[in-house]
Parts: sequence; structure tokens; C-alpha cells
Amino acid sequence: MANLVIRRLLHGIVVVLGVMTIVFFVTRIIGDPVQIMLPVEATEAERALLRNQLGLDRPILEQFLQFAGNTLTFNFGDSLWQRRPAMDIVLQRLPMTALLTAAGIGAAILLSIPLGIVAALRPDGIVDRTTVVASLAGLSMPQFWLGLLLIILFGVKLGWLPTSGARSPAHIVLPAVTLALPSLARLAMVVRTAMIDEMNRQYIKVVRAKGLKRARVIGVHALRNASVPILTLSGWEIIGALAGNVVVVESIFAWPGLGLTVMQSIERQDLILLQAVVFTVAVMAVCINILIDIAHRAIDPRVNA
Amino acid sequence: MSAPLLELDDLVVTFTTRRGRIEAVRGVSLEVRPGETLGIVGESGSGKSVTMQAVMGVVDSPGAVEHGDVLWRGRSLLRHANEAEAIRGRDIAMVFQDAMTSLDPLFAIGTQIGEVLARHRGITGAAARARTIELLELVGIANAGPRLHYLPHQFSGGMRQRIMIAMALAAEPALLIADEPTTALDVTVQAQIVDLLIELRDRLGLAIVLVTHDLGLVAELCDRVAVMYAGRIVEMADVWSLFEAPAHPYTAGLLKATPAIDDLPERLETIEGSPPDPSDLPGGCAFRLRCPRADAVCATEPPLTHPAEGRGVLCWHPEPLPIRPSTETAHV
Amino acid sequence: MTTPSTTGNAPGQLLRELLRDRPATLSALFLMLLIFAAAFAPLVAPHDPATQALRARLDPPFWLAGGSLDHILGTDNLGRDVLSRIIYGARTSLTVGLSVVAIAGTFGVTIGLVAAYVGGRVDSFVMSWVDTQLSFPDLLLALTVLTVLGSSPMTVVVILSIGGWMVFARMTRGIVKSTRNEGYVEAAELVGCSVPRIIFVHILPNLAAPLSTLLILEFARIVLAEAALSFLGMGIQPPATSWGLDIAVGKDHIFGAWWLVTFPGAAIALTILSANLLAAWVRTTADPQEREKRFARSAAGRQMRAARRIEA
Repeated sequence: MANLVIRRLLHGIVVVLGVMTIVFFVTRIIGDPVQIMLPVEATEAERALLRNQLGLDRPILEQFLQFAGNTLTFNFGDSLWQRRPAMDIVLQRLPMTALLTAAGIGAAILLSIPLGIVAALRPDGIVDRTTVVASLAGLSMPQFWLGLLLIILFGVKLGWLPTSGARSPAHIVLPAVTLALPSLARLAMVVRTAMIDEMNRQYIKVVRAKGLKRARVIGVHALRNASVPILTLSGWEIIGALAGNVVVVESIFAWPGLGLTVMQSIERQDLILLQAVVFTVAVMAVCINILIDIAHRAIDPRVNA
Repeated sequence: MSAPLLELDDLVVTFTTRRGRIEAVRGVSLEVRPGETLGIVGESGSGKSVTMQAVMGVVDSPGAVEHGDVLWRGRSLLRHANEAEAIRGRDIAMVFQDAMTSLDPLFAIGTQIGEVLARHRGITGAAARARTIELLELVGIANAGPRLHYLPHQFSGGMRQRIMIAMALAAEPALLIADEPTTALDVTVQAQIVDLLIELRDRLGLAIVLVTHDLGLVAELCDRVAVMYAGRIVEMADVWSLFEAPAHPYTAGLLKATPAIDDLPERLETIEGSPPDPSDLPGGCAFRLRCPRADAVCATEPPLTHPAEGRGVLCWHPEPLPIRPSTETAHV
Repeated sequence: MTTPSTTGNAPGQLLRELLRDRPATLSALFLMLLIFAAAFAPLVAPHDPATQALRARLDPPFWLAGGSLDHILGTDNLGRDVLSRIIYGARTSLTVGLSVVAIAGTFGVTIGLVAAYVGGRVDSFVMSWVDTQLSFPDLLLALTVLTVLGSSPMTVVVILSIGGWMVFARMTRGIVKSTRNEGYVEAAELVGCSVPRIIFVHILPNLAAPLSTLLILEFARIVLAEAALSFLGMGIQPPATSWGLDIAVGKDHIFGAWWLVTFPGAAIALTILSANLLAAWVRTTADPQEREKRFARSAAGRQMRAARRIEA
């Protein structure tokens, strides 16, 4: 087990460095960050000053080493927008995104399991067919469209729920539902397929022949074996949310998390803040991947990392 | 003669596929009495495994029991699902082929045996652990204590089969169904498992149904034998009579095809043709296209006749049985 | 008892299998309609998507008060016809989707083939690279690159391709590797078949179905990704038309003109849905076991079972 963790950790470091290298490459070499970060009217002197401040007049290799060093110490400099350390802003906004992701994807995972199981128990029954159809619809709808439709329905027409900001507990409902629905759709399908696959296996015939109660056959034996693909997808959904979907959802609902921060930094051409967010998200994704791998091993010790 | 434990009454099991409706089991009737070992012999596709799956209630879509009944001590298992669930695993237990795919790969073997004890005999905790170790010892796995938490893949094929047997015996069933228990094993391990079954039978007074294609196994273990072909029982007899004087041409063919170790022939005998495709059975007697004695009348369904006490044959032209004076019995 | 032909006429058989699955048939029809509309947009669209008509701003769809048959699905805030914009938007989505899938697919499959065939260190290296790149947060990186470079259709295609080849490589490598270990390939190698022959005759057929499924699914994912980027303002830029862009514009008018958001979104949803259904059909059709299950559950199967029960 320790072996596994170490290996995944090393891989994770490579991933994060890879991501940051790309960011470095794109921002320094292909693009001209100074050009982007300063308004058009800026004088040449102002540009030179900023260039010097950011160390952009040094040789590339030196820049890269400094960049790498800064990254590993979580030091990205001050946000151009808010004139304070970028990481501070990130750490401030991080809990909101974590909360939203936990609520949304957490709900999706929890709901998908009973739904998928019931669907699998009676293939082509009412629950199954409804689940399949609803899932197909759910994963075919663009998330941003879904969010807007929910706003129209619950915010405008019915006026039940707030649609912007995070001032009260009710504010989390619509964004969380928007985040959850496509994931729920995918997860329910995977649970269903995985359960159907397991129920058709030889060992389940044997377990049934042992006369065990149906609840145990399904809930203990089949489910445990089906857990591996379910766990894998759950991990992807969480990471997918963090690495991309929150950007869209938080933008629509003005939820003050990292996703909104990304759009705000793009609007203000604040590459420093953007880099800080990208780095943080990459690190979170790696951590979640490691946790998922550990969970995999715990469920199925045969899995050869 | 005591009442039968298990009775199959004209059981019909069919599968619905794209190629049409396939009858895997076409009206099988048999009974198993307490303490006796019944062998069911047949080639792949004869329907023997499906029959036993029907007994244990694990025939899955696209298959279904279409007709007939399975009775345990006179009570229908097919019509009383709840009772059946309690009976299966406790009074009737099945040992499946290929223990690797038959054991849950993610659960410790101790747990897999323990859940039978918990479900059927209400034994849990330390008592269950002790009993599990006892059972494993019974099947020849000594010093099982430290290995109760191992997973199936950590054992060898022979040991997994023993674990399966232990699991089947956990609730102290009256009937053990063994579906090709030795097919997936090496010959030496096979012999060990057979010895184990014999020992268990003698010690525990188990009734056993042995499903196999191996006539040697049948000769060693069984009291009576049912021969299946294309979903039907074509011959039923006690083991001695069957081997000495088979009545059905198929049985005769099977026996001839098995060379005797002390009389090796120049050429091996075979039964002409190949087993029928269940989706495309010849009308009438399914064996007639391969039978040396077939003629025009065989195109209609053959009758079930009883040429002697305890013998049944499904044939228009069964081999005549030798007349044996009653003082001369070769039985042990 | 019907016996389907097992000989010859593969396209005919495929068509029959398709028709057996109604949702898949409808999906295929929809996608063909979409391709047709996209290809012949200038002929099919009732209006020029960029023409502004300030007097006809925010007209509702024709079945509501204030709407007209002139603008079947209504107009946007600049008086542009929604239906025409959707048809031209199809062009964008399909172009981006097909381009990316073609580029990423070709590159990915090639890499996967090479990795699987050469094996050893090359294989390990390539697979580590695939794993690493798969762990990158693709939307964030795409946004970063687009911020720095500015967005254009070409940039979008390139970025999505760079982020999309890995799944193809991994799948191809997996299948080629496992097929290579099959007995019949080993036999072919022993007999002395040339490598290209082995690849084309023995290995690639195994790849056909999973690859088709993946291509369709990735196409759907790319359409969705492009829409999301355009919605955020980082993808296709005006005056070009994109479904995502239109939804972004419509966002500012949801309280009054709901149709601006609804119809382009529905277009995206239907496209993705059709792709998913078609991909599911491909997967089921290629797998004989799945085909059997589908039959058992289908009307024909149920009929067979019911008929027997009455007789018994």
C-alpha cells in the first residue's frame, strides 16, 4: 500500500509540474504576458518596469527555474486585480468551491447508487426505463443550459429559489443541482451497468444458490464487486467538476468560488491569479486521484497498481 | 423405501434467443432418496447442468422454467419462493464447477462460509469461526485459522474446490448437488476430491446428485444413474446394471467408447455424428440420426418403458436385458 | 421461427439491426438531417444569420402572440432569426467536432498502435505520458491558452485536439495489445504473415466497433466543449455563429425572451443525445452477447415467450 501511495505521489508531482510547464510555456513564450496584463495605453517604460518586476527580462532557463521554485513554494506573486498575494485569494475562495462540489457531486453519488440498483434489478421495468431515459437526457444537456433552464423555472417563473450569490443556505441549491444532474446521469448509468454485469456472473448464481437473502446478494456481494467502476467514475466526476464544470456553474450563479475567480481573472487579464488557480486545481485533482486509488486497493486487493 | 428427498416432475426449461425458442430440458422426471448417490451423465448441451440450476432456482433470463415442478420432501420449490430460499443452501446445497469463478473474488473465504452459517443456522461470531475451521478441516484443509481472511485467488484450484464443498456443507444439508466438481482440476487433485466426497457421504449420510460426463466417476461414486441426451433422460438404472447391460443405444455407445484399461482396442470406438444443436433437434427420438438401431418408427416420440425393477428406458428398440437367475447377484 | 441470414450482405444486416432499435434509428436520422442542414446552410436557412432587423427585435416563436411565420423560432436582441442562427451554428459545431475528432483520432490511434506494437520502454513511456496528460485540467488549460493567444476557430480546434487524442491512444493500445496475445494472431505471426497484414486483417477488425463508438462519443464531447467555451466567451467569437455563443447572448434576456436560450440549447442536447444513442447501438450491435440480450428483451422475444405459455 505504501508503495502505491509513493508511486502515485510521484506521478502526481509530475502531473502538476507538467501542467505548470504548459502554463509557463504558453504565458511566457508564446504569449507576451506584459502585453496582456497592462492596458493598451501603457507606456513603454511601464511595460519595461513590469517586465523587470516579473523577471521577464532574464534568460528563459533562469525564468523557468524561478517559476518552478515559486510554484513549489506556492508563491505566485500578487494578483494584479486585487493587489494581494494570489494564493491568498485562492485559499479564500477554495472552501466555497469545495462546498459546492461536495454538495453537488456528493448528492449525485449518493442518489445514483439506489437508483442504479433498482434499475438493474428489473431491466426494462418502469424504474429502469425511466432511469435510462432520464440519464440520457441528463448527460446530453449542456450544463450551462441546464443551469439557465433551472433559473428560468425556479428563479423566474416559480420564484422559489435564489439564483445568484451565496448569501444564504438556499443559494446553494440551484448551483448544486446543476452541477449534480449530469454527473447523476452518468453515475446512475454506470451503477446500473456495473450491477447488471455483476448479477450475471457465476459467483452470484452460487451466492443465490446458497439461499442468502436477496438484499444481501445484491447489496453486499454484487455491489461490492460493482464498486470498482463506480468508484472510478465518481473520482472522475469530482475531478471533472473541480477542473472545469465549476467554472461554468459558478459563472452562471455568481457563486464566489474558484470557478468564478477564473472568469474574473480572465476578464481582468490577471494571469498571475489565473496561474495560481490552475496550480491549485491541478494539485487537488492529484490528491483526489491518489485517494481514489487507495480506495480501489482497499475494495479490491487484487488490483495491481 | 423412504420418501424421496428431491423430486423433479416433468421439468421443462426453455431459452428465448434470436435463433428461436430452445428447449434445454424437455420433460425431466427423477427422484433422489435419502442417502443415495444419483449420477446424471451426459455430454455438454444435454441439459444436465440446467436441470440442476432449475432445482437451485438460478436459471436466468433468457431461460425460464416453463413447465413441471421441483419438490423437496413433497413441497414445491417453484411455487413457494420464500420457503425455497430458506431450503436452498440449508437442506440442498450445490457445489459448482470451476471454483475460481464461483467464489466471490472480493470476500474472505471465512466470510463466504460464515454467511451460510449465519443465514441458515443462526451461528455467528466466535462460534461461526470455530465451525468454519472445523468444516475446512473436514474437507482436508488443515490449520485454516490464519487463512480465514484470505481471498479465493490466494488458494490453488484444488483447495478452492474444497472450500466450495465446505461452504456447501456448512448448513448440514441432506442433499448435495455436485455439478462437474472435478472437471476443472488436474487428475491427481480429481482423485483427492472424489475420495473426499466418498468419505463425506459415508460420514454424514449425505444424498448426492453428481452431474458429470465422466463415466469413471459415476462408477466410483453412484448408486443409480440417469443418462441424459438432448434434454431428456434416456435411461435410468442402478449403476451395476447400467454398466453391465445398458439398455439405451446411447448408453451402450458411451460405454463402448470408453476403453477398458485391461483391454485396449486397436481403434477407439465412437458414436457417429455429433451432439444435436438444441435449437435444431430432429423430431421424434433425438438420438435417431446417430443410432445404429434406428428405423422409421423412431421418427415419433419414443415411449418410456421399464424393462426391469428400477430401470427406465426411453427408446423404441432398447437392448434386451440378459436373463439373470436371482441367485447370481454381482452386487456388493 | 425466423432465421436471420448469417451469410453476406453486411450493410443490409447492419441496416436491419439499426431498424430494430428505434431510438438509434431516430438518432441516425437526426444526425443526417443535421449534417445536411450544416452542409447546405445557405440553401436551408430562411434568413442570413447575421442580418439585423432592429424593428423585429426579440420577436417570440410563431405560435406565441407577436410571432410570425417569417421567424419561426423568433428573433434575438438584434433582430436576427433564431432558426437561421441555429442552422449556421450547426455548421460550426459539426466542423469543430468532426475536425477535432479526425485529428485527435488519427494521432491517438497511430500512437496507440505504435506503442502496442513496439512495446517495451516505448510503450511504458507513451502510456505514462497519456496518463499524465489525462490528468491535466483541460478546460482550465484551454481557458488559459485562449486568454493568452486570443481565440479563433483554428485555435479552438487545435486546443481541443491536443486535449483529445489520449483516449484514442489508450483504447487502441489496449485492444491491440490484448488482440496480439490472442492465439490466432500468434499463429499468424508464426506462419510468417507480414506485420501490415497482421495489423489490417487480424487486429484492426477488433478495433472497428470500439473505435466507432469512441469516435461518436468524443464527437459529442467536443461539441459540448466548444459550446461551453463559446458560452464563456472564449470560443467562437462574433460575428461567427455558435450555439454556445447564442446561449450566452440569450442569458441576458432570459427573463423576457426565453426562446433565445431554449432553442440553441435544445439543438445541442438533441445532437449529444443522438450521438449517445447511436454509440450505444454500435456497442450493442458489435457484441453478440449484448445483441442476444437486446433480442430477449425486445418485442419479438416477449412474443415468443407469451406464445409458448398459452400452449403449455
